[in-house]
Amino acid sequence: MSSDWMIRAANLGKAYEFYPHYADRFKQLVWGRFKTYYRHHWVLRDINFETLRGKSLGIVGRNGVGKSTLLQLICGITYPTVGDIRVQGRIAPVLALGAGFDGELTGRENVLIGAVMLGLKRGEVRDRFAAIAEFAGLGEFIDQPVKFYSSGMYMRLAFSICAHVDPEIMIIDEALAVGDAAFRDKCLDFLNRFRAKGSIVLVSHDTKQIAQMCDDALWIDRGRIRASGDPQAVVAEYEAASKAERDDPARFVIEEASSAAR
Amino acid sequence: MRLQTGPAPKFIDRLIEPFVSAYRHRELIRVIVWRELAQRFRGSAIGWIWAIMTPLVMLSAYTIIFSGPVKISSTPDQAGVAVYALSIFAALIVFNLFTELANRAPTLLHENAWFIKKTIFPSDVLAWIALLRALVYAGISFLLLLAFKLILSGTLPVTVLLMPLVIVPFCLFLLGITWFLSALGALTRDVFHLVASLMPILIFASPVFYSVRELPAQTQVWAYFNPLAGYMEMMRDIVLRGTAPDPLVFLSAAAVSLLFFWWGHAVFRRYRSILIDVI
Repeated sequence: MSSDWMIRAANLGKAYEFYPHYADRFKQLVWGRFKTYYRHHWVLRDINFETLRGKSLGIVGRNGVGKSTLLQLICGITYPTVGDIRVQGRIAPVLALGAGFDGELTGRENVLIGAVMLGLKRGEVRDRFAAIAEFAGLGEFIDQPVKFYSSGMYMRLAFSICAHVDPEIMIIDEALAVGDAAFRDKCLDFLNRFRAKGSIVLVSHDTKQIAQMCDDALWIDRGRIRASGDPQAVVAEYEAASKAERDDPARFVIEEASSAAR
Repeated sequence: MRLQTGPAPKFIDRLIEPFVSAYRHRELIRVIVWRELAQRFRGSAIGWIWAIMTPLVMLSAYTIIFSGPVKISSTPDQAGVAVYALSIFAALIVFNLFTELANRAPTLLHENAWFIKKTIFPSDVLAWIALLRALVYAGISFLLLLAFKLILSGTLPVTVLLMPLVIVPFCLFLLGITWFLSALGALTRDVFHLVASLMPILIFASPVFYSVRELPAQTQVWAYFNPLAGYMEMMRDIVLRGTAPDPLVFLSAAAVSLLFFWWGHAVFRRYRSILIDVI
């Protein structure tokens, strides 16, 4: 097998535990060896894919099918229930709204913490601060507490930090949707240049973006890969299915799956 | 950030793992501790003075109470009141450091949910951050203790230099407790209330207002089963009494602390993958 992969998932699955009563969680802790108090809800199952170095991956799918969970697994924020996910390279995640900022702190302070968290040294952050602030384009608001930011301003800051920490993999979860057109174009320009040296994992409901930016695409439906491969084809298939299947509320039913898998 | 998988780690790797993680994330720890300290005093005009005022008020309160209205069996005569107040103060530094962390630990992961759920954040590092922050305040109290000892007896005992021998194992003990309680507290919020209701009992179960040496000989051994007792007495030994700590007390306290440290970390590690999904 090629050693040139950047992200590799093998039989990856993630289940959350659902407890009927709050106290059951405590009972599980004490008596877990003898009895199971929860039922598993499989958010992702049988996920297999491999992204090569320098290639970009697009992920499409409807709300609540496990796209964000997959990104969290890639980032190592949450852990697989079964299977294996491996990543080689430095990740910078621009996850959906509310990406890891402390609301009480100013934009400037969050830049320092955020960038150090992604692996920069304090000195490096200081050197790059001007560039980060300029890219974010928040003006004087950079010294205001982040809790006063709008969702667009939030995303500007988050994207700007991630763009300046020398990542090898950028993970973008629908973040571009909240930016205004001018900023979105700036981000897309950046990502197009970034593609030359790194990988992008892009979750987006803008299927055109996926088709343009990505070398590979996954369509996730109810926790499984429904189609994968050429982005144009996957996106077309997804759109056709969306039209045909309409908005089916049965999607959100918690599966009565067997809880034996752990 | 790389996900690490591979052969099962060796025993020695397990032992040094908590330190390796803290060292690897030292920049992050430093940045966040500094931010928390700055944040605590921002918006208050006399900032750091509050950090000194609180222990000062505490110390004066004990001196006044025990020199006037309250007489308990071990309360010394008027001349000894200041010495007695310092003795309480020394023990309280240990006790307060412990309670600050024990009270905060159960909600530690909830408080920092935006970090650990939304970004790539090493959650085991939170315990180090909480410890360092609490240590700064304890440090201020400790300097006050030294200052008053100096005023009272005109000189400081050489044994003060043994302080690292006391503080290092105590910190490891505190880290273990913090890991354990934060993991448990993430799974059920009851832990927070449980800990809070145990603290008032603990202050009397620990030798704060008395000394272990005043207890009957056969009870003394039992008193040291409370790890805080050893640290309180060692603190008094090196700062107030000017004697080296009892080697037996030191060794047992250090051994218990190391066990707590590794055990607490092991528990945290064990439940780490679940914690993220429940908070």
